[in-house]
Amino acid sequence: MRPTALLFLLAACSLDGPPRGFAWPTASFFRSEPATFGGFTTSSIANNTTKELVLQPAWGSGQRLGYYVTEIWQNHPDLWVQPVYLLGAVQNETIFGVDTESTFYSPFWRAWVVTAQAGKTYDRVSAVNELPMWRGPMVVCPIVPSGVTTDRAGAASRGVAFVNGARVDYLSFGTDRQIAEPFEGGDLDGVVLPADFHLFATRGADGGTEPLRELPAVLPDDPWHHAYVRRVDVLLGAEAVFVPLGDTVLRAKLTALGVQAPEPSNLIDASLAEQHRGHVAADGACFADAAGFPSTCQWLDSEGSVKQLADNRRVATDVTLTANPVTVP
Amino acid sequence: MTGLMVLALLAADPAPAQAVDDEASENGGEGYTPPQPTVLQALRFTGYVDVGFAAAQGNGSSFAPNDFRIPADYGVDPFAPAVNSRGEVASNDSGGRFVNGFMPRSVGAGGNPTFLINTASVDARFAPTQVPVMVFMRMQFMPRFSSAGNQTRVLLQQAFGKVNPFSNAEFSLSVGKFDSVFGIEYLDNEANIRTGITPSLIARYTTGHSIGAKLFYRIQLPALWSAISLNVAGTNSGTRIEELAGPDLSLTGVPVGSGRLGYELNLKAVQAKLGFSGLIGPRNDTRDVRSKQWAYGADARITAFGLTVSGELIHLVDEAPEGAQRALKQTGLGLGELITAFQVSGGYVQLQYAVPLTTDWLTGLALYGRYDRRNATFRGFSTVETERFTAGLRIELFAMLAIKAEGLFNRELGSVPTVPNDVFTSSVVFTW
Repeated sequence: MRPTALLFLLAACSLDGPPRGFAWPTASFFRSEPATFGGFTTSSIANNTTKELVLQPAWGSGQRLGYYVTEIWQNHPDLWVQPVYLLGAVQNETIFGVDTESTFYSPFWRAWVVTAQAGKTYDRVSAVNELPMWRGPMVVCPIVPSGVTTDRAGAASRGVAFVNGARVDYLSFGTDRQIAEPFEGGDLDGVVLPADFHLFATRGADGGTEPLRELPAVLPDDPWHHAYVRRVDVLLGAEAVFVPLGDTVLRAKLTALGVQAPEPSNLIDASLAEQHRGHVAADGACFADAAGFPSTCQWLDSEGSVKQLADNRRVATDVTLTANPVTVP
Repeated sequence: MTGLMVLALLAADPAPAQAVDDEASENGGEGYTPPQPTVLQALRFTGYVDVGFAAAQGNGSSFAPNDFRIPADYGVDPFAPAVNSRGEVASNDSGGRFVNGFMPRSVGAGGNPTFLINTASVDARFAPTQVPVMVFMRMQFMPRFSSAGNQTRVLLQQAFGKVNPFSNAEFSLSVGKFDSVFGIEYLDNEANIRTGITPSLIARYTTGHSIGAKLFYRIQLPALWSAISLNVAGTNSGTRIEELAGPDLSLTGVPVGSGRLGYELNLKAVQAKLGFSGLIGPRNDTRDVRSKQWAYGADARITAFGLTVSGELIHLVDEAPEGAQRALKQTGLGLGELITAFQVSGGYVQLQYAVPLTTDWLTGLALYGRYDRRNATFRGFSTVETERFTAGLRIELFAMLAIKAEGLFNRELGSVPTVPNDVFTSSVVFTW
């Protein structure tokens, strides 16, 4: 074959390859330029000025909740549970197994409680793996840029730990916030599997779904053990979105998108109305009944109620995320 | 197919056979005619049987207890406890932890001493003298047993045709599955040729067999007692061993280029070989063509007065998508999960001494030692720093039987968990 023919052959080869996956750890949310990751705009989930994660509204099992997004993945395999070594009372030190730079970084850690010796320095896995240890609980601890915290005090505790000998900051959203699958049926942890996380959506111009991020999400029925979730878009049909009477901007936007957002009774208490901002009901007629509101409404605010909708209205996406649930007053 | 190619080449260039016929005709068919090379004379079978006995420390693997990082093969060197010339390890049991395709093959012995048929190898070579074409195949049998039962493998390790179009030049073109062209250790791949038993810690990057085309050219410089050679190849997977990057298919559609520029000095008492090697192309453990692999290295082998010093250095980089992007992985041992950016620097130096003590039956005696060093990092993991001291003895009897014994002393440095993974291994190789 002539060299030129070979060159043409090579040029004909695809240089794109298969579609890639994506992983955005917390640090990705605090870049200077706003971006959209898996349908979430960074400016809506993180405040780059105050270095705070922003509380997101949600409902779960009929209760008003909130959540913080700390990682987003798209077209990505499910996450492996990584180890974190807790050096108990003697050292009060924490060592994460892998850094956020790793392809296999995951905020889902199995705690291994290590019996450390006083007076020694432990800053990496090789320093502790020969020490006595026992298996502790699962913890959800995203490694975050230095100084990053949540916009609501107490939603997560802050800490400093070692990873590969270097110091990193992390947030802790508590223990047992995620169930781990055993690896190949053995005693060790494997991956975490996502629960469904519902976002209400409309049909986009391209035929896809356009999530309505202004509306509260619907968390899994047991959000406290399912921080790892998959975004499932719920196409709104005849359902109605509750919008406080004075919020004409949101009402106009929803109406323009073809979403039912009838004006509620002006007798509904303003603070009560605010609590139900974006709450989706099967039928908006109940919004006019101030006396019966909100109990007369059939709300779509639990995993069970959303899953009663027709299957073709629930569109599972290739986006997974860590949605760390928190209670709200 | 290969036979058809040979026939086609014969048909395309009938001159040599025609010349022989003409010569016989001129002799009248009654005088002396040199015997015609027959097919049987052109066809040659050779091979060897490598029988081993090995014992490894610990559980035979490099995986440390209580190191629960995932993937388990990113934080240690699973290739360290090698037991034979194939680089197979005593065990690759990760203790129930996920691994991501950076794994050697295992003989499954764990920490138990065991006898092994390391390799039963058969070479078939067809090299008719009338045409400048040679066909070569190497078939290998590896009886293995693991917890999954019989794991015996049959491997077509090499299969290529080589054309030497110019009778007055060392120029050849090979196509098929053939040796690597990177560095010098691939020359010692086979147990019957290798002085010692186990490959170096960097052999996994340089001694693989892949499928493609190879060009070799050497020019002699008689006035300088020297030669300069160039060996370049375009293959599916590059120079890595098959466990790390499958050679049988190009996953990206773009070949991997590799080559070595070499210099040889051939004096009566001193021989020296120096070379520089390079490699560039897409990784062949992913279908993501944008993720490249590249490497460079240098090698030297100097022999004088029975002493041979050889060494090799390599720096290799595997790229992976930058930032948030991820790509799937596929290795010679099956699917991995995601590719990770990786880089390694390493090398070895080996000293061997051929004891000048031979008899009719003792045809060779050599002592050797090797020092290996390897620093490798998967992005986001701590660097795996290891070194290895190897010492051994080789006795050769009747020019066809090699008896070898070797000790490997693996040392974990820096952030690598310490693990007992030293190995004693021995090998008896019958060459036929």
